[in-house]
Amino acid sequence: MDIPPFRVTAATLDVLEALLGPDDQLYGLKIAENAGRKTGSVYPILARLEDAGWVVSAWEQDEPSARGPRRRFYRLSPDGLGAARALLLHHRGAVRQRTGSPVRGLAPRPTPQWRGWS
Amino acid sequence: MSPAVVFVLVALLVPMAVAESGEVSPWLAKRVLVWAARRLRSAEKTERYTEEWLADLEQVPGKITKLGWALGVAFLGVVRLREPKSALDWTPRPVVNPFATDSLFGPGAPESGGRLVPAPRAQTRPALPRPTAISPGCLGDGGYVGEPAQFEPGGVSYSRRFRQDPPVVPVPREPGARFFQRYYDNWGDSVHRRRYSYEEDAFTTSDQKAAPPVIGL
Repeated sequence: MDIPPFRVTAATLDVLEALLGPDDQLYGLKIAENAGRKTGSVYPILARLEDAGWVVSAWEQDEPSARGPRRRFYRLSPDGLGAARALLLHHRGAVRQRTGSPVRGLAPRPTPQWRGWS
Repeated sequence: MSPAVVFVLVALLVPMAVAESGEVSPWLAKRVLVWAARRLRSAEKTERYTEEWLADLEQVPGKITKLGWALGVAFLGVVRLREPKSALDWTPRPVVNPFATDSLFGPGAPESGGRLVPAPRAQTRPALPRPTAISPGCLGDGGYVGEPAQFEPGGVSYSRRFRQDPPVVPVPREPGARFFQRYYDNWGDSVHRRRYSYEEDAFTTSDQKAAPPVIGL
C-alpha cells in the first residue's frame, strides 16, 4: 500500500469511513456526525484529504436563491475511493460504513475480533 | 432582602436572561464563525469557509447549541486550517541610522546627510608606470622574482609592493569576531567620537555659557 501524503490518525480513518457511506450529499456537519468526531476537527481533515486529491468538493446546486449560504458537499474521488478502502483495510482490517451517529454510553459494543495471541 | 423579593427577582430575571441569551446565541454564533474565518490568513479560504460554516450552522438544532458549535469550530478548526505565517525576510539591506537625530533643539546633524555610516572609501591602487623595456621583474609568473624592475621611479618597488600575496591560511577566530569586524567596518569610531567641540555645544554660545533649559518650572 502506498504511503498517503498526510498523517493518518483515528479521526482520519473515521472520516474516510463516513465518506464511504451511501449518502451522496455529505457536508461537513453530517460527516462529523457520521464519524462521531467534533466538527472543528473534521474540517481540517477534509481540507487535507482534498489537498491530497482523495476528496473532491462542490457547492450545493439546489435552489441557489431560496436559501442563504450554500452547503459544500464532499465525496471521495475515484482515486481516493480505492486508496481509502486500502487504507482502512490496512489499519482496521475491514471497511465499515458509518451512516448514523455511533452508539455511545452504556450501549453494548460489538466484541472485538480475535486476532490470536500475538 | 425579603425572600419574596428574591423570589420575584429570580423568577423574573433568570427566565429573561435565559430567553435573551437564547435569542442572541444564533446571531453571536454567526459572528463567531465570520470572525474565525477571517483568521485563516487567506481570502479564498475566508470566503469559502464563511459560507460553508454558516450553511452548516443552519443545520445545527437549538439556539445555544449553535453558539457552542460555532465556538468549537473556531477553536478547533482555525488553528489547523489557517495558512502558516510568512517567513522572516532576511534580505540584507544597507544599514540605516538607528538613532533619532532630530530633537527639540533642532534638526539632526547634517553631516553625511544624516547618515552615521561613513561612506565607503575608494579602494584604488596607484597606477603603475608603463614599462619601457623588458625587465626580469616583468617576466615572472605573477610573483616576486627577486630583483626590482628598472623602470620604477624614485626607487619605489611596485613589483615588490603589489606582488602576488601568499595564500591566506584561515585562522579560527573567536566567537563574535566577525560581528565586531563588521561593526567596525560600518561604524568605525564615529559613534564614540564627539562631533562638536565643547565650545560649540548646544547650550554654549560664543560669549557666555547658557544654562540648559529646566523643564517643570
